[in-house]
Amino acid sequence: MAKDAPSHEDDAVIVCRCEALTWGDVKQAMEAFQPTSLRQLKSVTRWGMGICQGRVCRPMMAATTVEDQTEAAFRLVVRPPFKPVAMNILGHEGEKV
Amino acid sequence: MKSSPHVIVVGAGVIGAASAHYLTQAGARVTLIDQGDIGSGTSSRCDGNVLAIDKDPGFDSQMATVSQQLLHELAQELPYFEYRRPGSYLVCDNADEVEMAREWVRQQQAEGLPFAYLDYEAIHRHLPHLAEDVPGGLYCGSDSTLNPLLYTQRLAQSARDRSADLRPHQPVGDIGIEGGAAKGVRLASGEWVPGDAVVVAAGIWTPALLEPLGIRVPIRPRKGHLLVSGKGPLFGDAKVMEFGYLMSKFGRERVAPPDAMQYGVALVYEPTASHNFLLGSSREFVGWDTSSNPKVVQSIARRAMRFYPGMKDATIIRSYAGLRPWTPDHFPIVSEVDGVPGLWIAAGHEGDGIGLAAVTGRLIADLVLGGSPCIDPGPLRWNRFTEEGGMDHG
Repeated sequence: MAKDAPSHEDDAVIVCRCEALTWGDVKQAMEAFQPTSLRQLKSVTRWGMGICQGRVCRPMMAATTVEDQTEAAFRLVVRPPFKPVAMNILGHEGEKV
Repeated sequence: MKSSPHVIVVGAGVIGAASAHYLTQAGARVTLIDQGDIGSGTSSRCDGNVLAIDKDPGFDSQMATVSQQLLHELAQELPYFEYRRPGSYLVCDNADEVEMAREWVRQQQAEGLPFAYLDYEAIHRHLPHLAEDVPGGLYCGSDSTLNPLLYTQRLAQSARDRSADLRPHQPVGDIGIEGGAAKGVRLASGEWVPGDAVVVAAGIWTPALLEPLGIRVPIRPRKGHLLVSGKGPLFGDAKVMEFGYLMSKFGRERVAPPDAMQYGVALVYEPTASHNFLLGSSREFVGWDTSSNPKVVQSIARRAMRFYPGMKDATIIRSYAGLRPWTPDHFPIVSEVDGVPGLWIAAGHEGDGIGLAAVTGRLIADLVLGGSPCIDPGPLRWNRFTEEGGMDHG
């Protein structure tokens, strides 16, 4: 590995590819909003709100950002349709074609 | 009241956060308490509607319009929350709806509001992605939109910047009454937080907080679903809804497919600043369940494709549901509780919490601090529901 490979401490590093979010953006949001949960951080930065729905970025965000104080009822949950689905398929699922 | 009273706001959703913003702006000390994190309830499970287009002419539309003006000022004052003012559209499904839409526009124009009826040619010029058989629609020029997640956080942040004490993850056990007046709250942890006034801005959780005091308010959770698209081509820059759900205002039956009728599904299309779009809506009384029901999701997708056939190739990446705080007359409660000085309610905004947060927060600050109210608070009294609400004693 090149010795100047970026670490997550470089502000310019992209930490959420779907939403083009950098580590610098995350640091700024942490300071401005003082979030107390990953969910609250998500709502101000959009990490995990793109097409991968957090599959790529979530482990890193969980390891590096907020010490989550959330109770079980407010934890991040996955939501259907779980994978990107075309509306044509979603709208006619279960019908005879 | 003291020159700098301490106001405890219970509930850090958009209503509580807006109340905290305007209270601190007017010089009050504020403690903002929530059972979860800031904006973790209904305010994060909604779209960003700030609408006058569906309001009855009169007090209803006046309240919405004042809120739109206050929001326009907030957008200059607070950091960015994706505020835009593209106006909004209602589109008709059939000839019966066209007739009522013309009547709706006549009523609104008579009140001086910026409405326009759009005939077949005009609606398709404004909204080129619409299905060819849509017969007409209407436009309201003052309607705006924002990111509700960011808006709530910006309001709370503004209150914190003026020294409000934010207390997330602190469920409230009891509201403390001494000598007949509200004197503070007891947190579930046992901690006593004293204050000069208590504002209950807890949306669907409001009745449970007031019940132990013998105060009953008829707020019920009404579930709604939203679908989120992937980033891609949008179907226009303004919000579009279907006129059908206003038909009940005219005593007419709405005509729609059985699944749409069953789940209360009506088209809502909302483009966001992140280049995806939200689709709604559904209306159901099914208790406290916020799980996403695939049948409802399917029904919303179908309804959207009825108006926008080109959406068939668009991608949905997520769906979620929230619980609107419904009241019987669809107006919120913004009021002191008679007989309990210092106890205030700001809740019950159903699907208009985002849109009415500014006027509600401002009104709470006016009333609690003894200023002159920005709108007539009479229609928002807590005890106007003679049959379902009121006090057990006194």
